[in-house]
Amino acid sequence: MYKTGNQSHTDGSAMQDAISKQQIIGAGIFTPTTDAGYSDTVTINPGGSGPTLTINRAELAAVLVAIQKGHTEIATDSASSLFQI
Amino acid sequence: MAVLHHLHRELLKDIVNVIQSSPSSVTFYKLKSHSGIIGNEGADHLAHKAAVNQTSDVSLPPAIDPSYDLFWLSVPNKVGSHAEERRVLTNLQDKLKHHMHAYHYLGEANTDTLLYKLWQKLHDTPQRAAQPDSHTRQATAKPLNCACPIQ
Repeated sequence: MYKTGNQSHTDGSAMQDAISKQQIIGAGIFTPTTDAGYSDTVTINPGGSGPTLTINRAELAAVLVAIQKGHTEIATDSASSLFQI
Repeated sequence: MAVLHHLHRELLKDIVNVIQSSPSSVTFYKLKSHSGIIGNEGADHLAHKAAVNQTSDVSLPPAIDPSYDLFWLSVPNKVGSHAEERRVLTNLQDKLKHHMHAYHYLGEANTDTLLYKLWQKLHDTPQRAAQPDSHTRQATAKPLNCACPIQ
């Protein structure tokens, strides 16, 4: 398993809106409890539209924001994102 | 090169740029989804929350049009037409063939040259010598409606 440190869990979500029947996506970053004794949560708007509203975009957006925040150990359940990077 | 036509190429380019400019190495871990890992379940909950509520702490810029840098071969419409200014070529094969024949030494060979006629004459001479001429073939051919043997 990965070491404890500057790590974060990323995930994306895609679903269909019940009312508008439009595809909606979102992403999130969960940072487990650190040595300072707090956990950090970040919700992300991947900013897609039309054909780019995919789960893959949500996963990549979560990874991008996690790296931009300085996380160096990123855990994700998206194998396709890892292959593309 | 494959990233050039990727649907989310701007995200991939940003990820690669950040990783390359990072002073420390970045390590990725693949986890099995929905397997009870607390961190992964927390991230999944946050992603679902961001998608449903459309509220987020961080908003990425709007996605670019995935086809903005794709070029379509087109020709201008007639002057005075009220249709679009340019229309996409439908008979692309004929246009390309015409262009190649007009500007490149490709396609069908030019047979109206002295060199080609000389080559054809030299090439056809042995074959004609080996084949019997048409008059000889008619004489030796067996008639189909004749029961008598050929003399």
